[in-house]
Amino acid sequence: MMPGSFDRKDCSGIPEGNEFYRVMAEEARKHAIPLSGTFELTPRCNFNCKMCYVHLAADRIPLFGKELTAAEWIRVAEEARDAGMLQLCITGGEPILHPEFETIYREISQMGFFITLQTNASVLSDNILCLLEEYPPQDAKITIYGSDNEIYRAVCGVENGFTRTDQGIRDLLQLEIPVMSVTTVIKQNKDDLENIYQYTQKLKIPWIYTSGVKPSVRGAETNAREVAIDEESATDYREDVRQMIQRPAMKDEKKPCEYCRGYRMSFWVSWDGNMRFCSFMNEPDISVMEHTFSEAWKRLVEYEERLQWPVSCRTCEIRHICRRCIGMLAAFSGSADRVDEDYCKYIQAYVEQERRRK
Amino acid sequence: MRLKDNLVLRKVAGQFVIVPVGKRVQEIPNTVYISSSAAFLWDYMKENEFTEEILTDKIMEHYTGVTRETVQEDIRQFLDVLRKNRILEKEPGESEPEGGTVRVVIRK
Repeated sequence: MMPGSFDRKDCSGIPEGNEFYRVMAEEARKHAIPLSGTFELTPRCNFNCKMCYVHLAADRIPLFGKELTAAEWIRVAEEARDAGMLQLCITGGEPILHPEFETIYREISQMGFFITLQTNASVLSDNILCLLEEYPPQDAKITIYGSDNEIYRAVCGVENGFTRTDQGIRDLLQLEIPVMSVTTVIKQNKDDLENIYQYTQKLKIPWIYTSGVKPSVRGAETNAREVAIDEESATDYREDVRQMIQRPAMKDEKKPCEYCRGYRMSFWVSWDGNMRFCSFMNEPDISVMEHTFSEAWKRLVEYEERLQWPVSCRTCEIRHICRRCIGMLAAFSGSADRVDEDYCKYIQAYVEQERRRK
Repeated sequence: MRLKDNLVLRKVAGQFVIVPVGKRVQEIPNTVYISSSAAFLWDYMKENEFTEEILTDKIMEHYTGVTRETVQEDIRQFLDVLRKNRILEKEPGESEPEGGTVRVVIRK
């Protein structure tokens, strides 16, 4: 390939839509190269969001596992670099609250990755801002939960949440760090979406939203089902079901992980050091402490090849229409080998309703 | 000519990608990728000042079956990509390529 360059500023995670990346991604998938990774540094967070699937209070962390130390994260990053990781998302919980965040970030950011820092932007101390000025990430992905402190109180259970987040975003912009923003929509902030949109427009930062909250199977004391907005009110979902009825896209011959964009080229390392392909799942437990990175990655790829849809999915009448994801199924049922009956009944009823509308 | 510091050349999935680190991240906003023969020159360029002629000589010493004219043209193209993406140190009197930025950060 001839030398060249492309603007990656509009891209999140793995860039799309250019020849260079298409060639690289094809090669990565063909040879199972871990091109893109996420390091979930910690389950700690200063927010208590009602839909979070990761957050654990500090005193509950030992009940579930042990956070990796800075030395351990740095070792994993070095091995991941040697195995081919180019894109790295650093997330949490709130990653900045890892007790050794500054050491981890300073070291990893010099290794040669395109780094996205995912943060709620509310804990950017002067020290952290100095660090980010010296070692700016490629971009910062900021979660925005509302357009005022009242909505933050309702969603995140904290005081002055918006004020602190707003200040953090402005500090990042002042450092000329590209900021993109994302909102998880639940009952408590769904009526505030237009205001959030206007806020992001005012700051000229890209914004996306998602209503796809999933129950936690990882110990977070939240109830996503209780706060999730009714899927029927999600226009995108309704439209998707209509399109799937017209043109079923789920194929019997495709394995669950094949529907994942990161299949055979991306991974997630949980705060306690387990490599997985999906953050919503609590399996497989492939420890990057007990294995080298490359051994863990090899095991993860084998797991992806081995994983099947639950038996009830494989025989379900609407299996070609139901646009499911194995991580979502596992989050609702608690395991990748079974489905949640209530969830299935809901989807089936919804498909029937749309069929009748035809 | 000289390469800027804080640039890491990575070979990933068969491609050679220049990854800026530290403050270079903001100076070089594009993803820059180079050919394998350009990557061959990178180690030398990292440590030494160079000219088009020196790089052409290096390639001619290492590869067979190519004409000097072709190599010169490729080297010119390669250096042009580096220059446009602010990967080369500025020569005396030279300004940053169009699109460069001046950062003014007001500290709290």
